[in-house]
Amino acid sequence: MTKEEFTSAVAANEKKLYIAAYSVVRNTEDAKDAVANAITCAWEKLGRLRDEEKFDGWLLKITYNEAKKLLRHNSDRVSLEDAREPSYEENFSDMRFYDLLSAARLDEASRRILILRFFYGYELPEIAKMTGSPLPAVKTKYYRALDKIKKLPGLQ
Amino acid sequence: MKSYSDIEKTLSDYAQKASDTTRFKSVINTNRVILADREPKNTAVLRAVFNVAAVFLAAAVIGGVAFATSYLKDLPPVSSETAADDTDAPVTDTDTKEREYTPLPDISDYTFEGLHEIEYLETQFTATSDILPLSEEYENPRKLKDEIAKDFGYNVYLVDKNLYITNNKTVRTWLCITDKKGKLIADIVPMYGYEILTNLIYAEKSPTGDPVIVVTQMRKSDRIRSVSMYDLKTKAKTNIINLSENMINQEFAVFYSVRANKEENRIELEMSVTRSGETYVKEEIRETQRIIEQLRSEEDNSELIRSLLKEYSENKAGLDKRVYGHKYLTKTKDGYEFYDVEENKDLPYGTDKVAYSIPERTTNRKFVAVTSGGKTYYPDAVGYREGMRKDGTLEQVYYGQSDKDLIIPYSDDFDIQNNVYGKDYHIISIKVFDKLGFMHRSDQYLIKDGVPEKTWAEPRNIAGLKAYLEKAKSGEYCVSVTVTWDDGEVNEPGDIRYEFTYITFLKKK
Repeated sequence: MTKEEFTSAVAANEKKLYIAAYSVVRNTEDAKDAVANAITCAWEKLGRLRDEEKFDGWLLKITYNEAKKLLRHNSDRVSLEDAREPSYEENFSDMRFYDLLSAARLDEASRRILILRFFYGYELPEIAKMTGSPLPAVKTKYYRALDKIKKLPGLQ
Repeated sequence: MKSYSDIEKTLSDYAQKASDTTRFKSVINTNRVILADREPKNTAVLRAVFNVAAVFLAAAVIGGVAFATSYLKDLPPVSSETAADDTDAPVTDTDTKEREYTPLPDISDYTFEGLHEIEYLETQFTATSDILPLSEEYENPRKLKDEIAKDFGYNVYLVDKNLYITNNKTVRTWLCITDKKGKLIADIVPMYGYEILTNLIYAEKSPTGDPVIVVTQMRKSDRIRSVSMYDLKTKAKTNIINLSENMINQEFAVFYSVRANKEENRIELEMSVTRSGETYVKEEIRETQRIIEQLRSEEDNSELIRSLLKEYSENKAGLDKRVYGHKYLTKTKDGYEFYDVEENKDLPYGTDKVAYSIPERTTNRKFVAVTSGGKTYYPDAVGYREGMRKDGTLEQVYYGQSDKDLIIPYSDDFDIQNNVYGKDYHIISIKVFDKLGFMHRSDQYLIKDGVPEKTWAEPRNIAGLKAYLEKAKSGEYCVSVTVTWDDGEVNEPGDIRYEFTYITFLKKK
């Protein structure tokens, strides 16, 4: 993947990455930093990505990790638990999607599957290929996650 | 009850709304993102390994020559041809092939007087201009331990916090050394971003007669380690081992650490080679060059790497410490020893069943040790289950396991220690629960010198935990400790791994 191809691939997903990062750090500047760090990190580590078809999922995971890293570094003011609570103080955007994932207490793998499914529009077989997980495992996680969300108050 | 399709529709709508309502300006082409103007390292494995060999050999030559010419006057003379190559210019494969092999001078061959392994106070603080010369860029530094500092002659600060450099936010660790009057002596900056300094050793007198600091640098993202020496008088830096980022690839990785041998006035360099979960720890550096040189000419090198490392390790039994599959090397008070695995048949976390081509295996390790009343306890363990799928991919599933029945009698001498060899140990948070399960927030209840501390560093402070427990009433207290050894794991760049352990203390009247 050349620099131009990389930039183009990132640009196509940048907003989604930003929203994902924002869902973790809950402020615009840190979310931008997380995306920027993730892009830089991904470029440096591109050689480790054996299958370019997995690029989207790979970059999403790096973004999550960078966001969590920033959250940890900034946690002198707010604990990790507190930061995960929904907050609309900046009237930033409609974050109900992520609030649902938080409220359902989904693990990170399940979150990633749902994000790739609903934000990126991938089908489950594509997600399985992208994440390197067997399709039955992805399906199991996916439907378990939906089950958990289904049980949330207000959605029953 | 809603159906799956209803939930999917809801999630799809919410995702669309999140996307529609978000205003976002691209960070690409801004100073937030700086992509190096070079091709990424997506070369073939053969090419990568070839580069590994070339760069390692070149680093050995360059590092060795620099070491010899700058510091160690009693080294055997080197040729003028290799001395002329002592530059930072990129080393091509052709250069390396034509270059005459020069043995790497081993730092452990030389004597250093007055060795100190530098330790830091747990407490962190934000530096101001009257403490450090560059106040704005130094946050939350850690200072050299007072008892060491008394005879040291310098103030040493380890700085690990976000730094803002030309608007490009990076996470770095810097080492800042001042004299007792606050004058800056040395400002040691890692070569790369995402790099931390570990294994710091101070020697009052190097072979040249100057005081030096020997430091291991480690990149968090891929744990590449290099070893450098800083002359505090001349401010010269010598790369003893300077690993290029090409030293790590899908096949194997090489790490270094340094130790101060005060009895023999030597600095010992220890190397470990890791490949797919197998780690080989080497005392000698030179021998490994032979292995890497052999790799250069092989097309199908993956099996060769495995066989060479294995053969090498087995042939050197007694000299080397090998960690293979089920075993880990652990650090003890008496030195280093293997920790045998315990079979664990009941995994606490349900995982998807996978068809393995070889029997799956489970590995445990006890990652923290708690001492109290003169005894040592291991309240928790982490481990992983691994297996090879039929398609050849390796799956590893990590889990934690607690000894829930263990209750440790509280004693004033209690301490929580790292029990994992070769990794830097950081306590991220400590939380205290009482018997009824109410959590006493660590940032509110950990008290030092009678004053609640609310800094980021404070929850990591075992002294604060001690202060709380000492003042607590008699009874049972469950302490949750979150630790990490690395901010970047090998497999996924930027991956953060935490482990939690719960320790129950019984405090008697």
